[in-house]
Amino acid sequence: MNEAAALLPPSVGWLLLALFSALWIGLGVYWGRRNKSFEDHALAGRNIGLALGSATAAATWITSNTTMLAPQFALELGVWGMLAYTTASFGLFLFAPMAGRIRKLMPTGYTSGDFFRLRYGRTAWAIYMVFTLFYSLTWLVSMAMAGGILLNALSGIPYAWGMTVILGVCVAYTMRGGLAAVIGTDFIQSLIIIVGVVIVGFAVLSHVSVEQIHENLEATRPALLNVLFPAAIMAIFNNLLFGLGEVFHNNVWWSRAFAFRDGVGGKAFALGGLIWFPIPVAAGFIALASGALNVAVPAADMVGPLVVAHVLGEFGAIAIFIVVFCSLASSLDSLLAATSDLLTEDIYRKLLRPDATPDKLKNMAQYVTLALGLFTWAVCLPRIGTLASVLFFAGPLVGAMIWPIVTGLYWRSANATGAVGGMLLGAGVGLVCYFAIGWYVATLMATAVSMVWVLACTHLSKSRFDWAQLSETA
Amino acid sequence: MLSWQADGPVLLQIADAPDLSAPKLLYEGQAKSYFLSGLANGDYYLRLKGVGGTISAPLHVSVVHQSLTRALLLVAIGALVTLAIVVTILWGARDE
Repeated sequence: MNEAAALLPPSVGWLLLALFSALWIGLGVYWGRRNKSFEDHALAGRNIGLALGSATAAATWITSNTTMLAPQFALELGVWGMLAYTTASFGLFLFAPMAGRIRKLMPTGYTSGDFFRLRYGRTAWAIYMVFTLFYSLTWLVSMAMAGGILLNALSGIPYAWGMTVILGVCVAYTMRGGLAAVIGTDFIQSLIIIVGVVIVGFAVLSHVSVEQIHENLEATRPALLNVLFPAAIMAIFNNLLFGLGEVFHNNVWWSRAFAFRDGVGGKAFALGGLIWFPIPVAAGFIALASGALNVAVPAADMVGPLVVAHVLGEFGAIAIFIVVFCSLASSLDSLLAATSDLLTEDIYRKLLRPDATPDKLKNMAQYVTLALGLFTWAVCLPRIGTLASVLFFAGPLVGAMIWPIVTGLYWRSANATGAVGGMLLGAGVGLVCYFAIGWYVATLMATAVSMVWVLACTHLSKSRFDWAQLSETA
Repeated sequence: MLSWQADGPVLLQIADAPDLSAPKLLYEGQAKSYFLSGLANGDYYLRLKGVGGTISAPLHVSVVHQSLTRALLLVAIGALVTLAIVVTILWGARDE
């Protein structure tokens, strides 16, 4: 994010921050009252219904990137860039059938780490933990950092204070309320985001017609309308596979598959994808309208807020502040909860204290959430601007995990040699491509190499996995 | 990214001829910077016009996009890998 004049006075920013902070913490405390055990805290009693399930899938996937990076993609890569961003919804669509399968094979499972350990053994599990913790921690840090930077750009609130408040609020209600609070607040946050984006979309269209936008783009930015724009079409499948890798491997999504009521997972993830799909389209459309609206954009990642403030004035600036706050909170809380559960279940319970009581595990999950928050805060405080870009390194890591997960869920012949080699070879080749060619091929090449290795090992394997081994007693 | 310093509002113009004989208007207003994107392959010239009629020296920009052949090859690989993933998931577990 580059420097730009704040759109709101700091006093308004602080007031909004205080109001929403009080609301989320209050709801977290209220929803946390019913949590008695680790299962209640981590998986909301495995009883989440369709409405909350769909909303949390959509809201978690609406990050600050969806509302800020999708417009940037549209401004830099045009219509294809905007559509490339929407391919992230395929992650939710394809995870829908997988969620049903996960729930069926692992009725008492807690984490995605459980799957790797039981399906492929300790070596594959250890590699998975390194990859997923790298991804989760960099995502967590980049989101918290984005929170401080965005609140500063929108309202002039000092970076350190904005970052501290948004992170502190998410840690507080996630610690107190667990996954139930995360999913409950996600429901409200998703409604606010959708209403905000719809209002902004109609407001933009009331100021400028689609014909005017098209005419302006054709005259001044013709490549943005070009169906054979090389950089844009390169991004399509790389982005799609990055999205698949993120959803398929991360405990944010697996914990929801375990938490949804039986039979709900498939429908909830598919509906969540449908709810999410139009958000980057609307956000990208706003960016494409910037030229026709005569909005000078000083930095590509500020195009969304600037267009909204231009069209709706101070009301628009307040709306974008609230949407950004909700987008950040809905992802930060999910990531805190899922990573804390992963560390509690896979490290504390499975490696250190197998005999820990449910109450003790719940307390440990709360301490781990607090520790994650403190770690993130300490890393974010110096405002190392380039750290957010580290998240892109994770593309090859998550891409390399797609095939071991998919074949591990559906094929008995999938084996540990395939999974370990697929993850290591895929990630290695992907990272080499990242530095030698560019980010736009890294995830694609990692997934392709991993696929070839996993398919070869599966084809040559004579072993047949017994699915019953996945239904470990809690 | 284009940045400039000016006392008042400016016109930012672009053309494909060095003398900017047929300029197109990119922006008109008080801003001091502009993110330029979406140009096709070719040479372009940009200039600023102030309210008093002052005109800046033209800025030359050359645009060369990445190879379309390489882009289409990557699309083909991506489509193949994605299709294989979709088929594997939708086909499901057939050996239970």
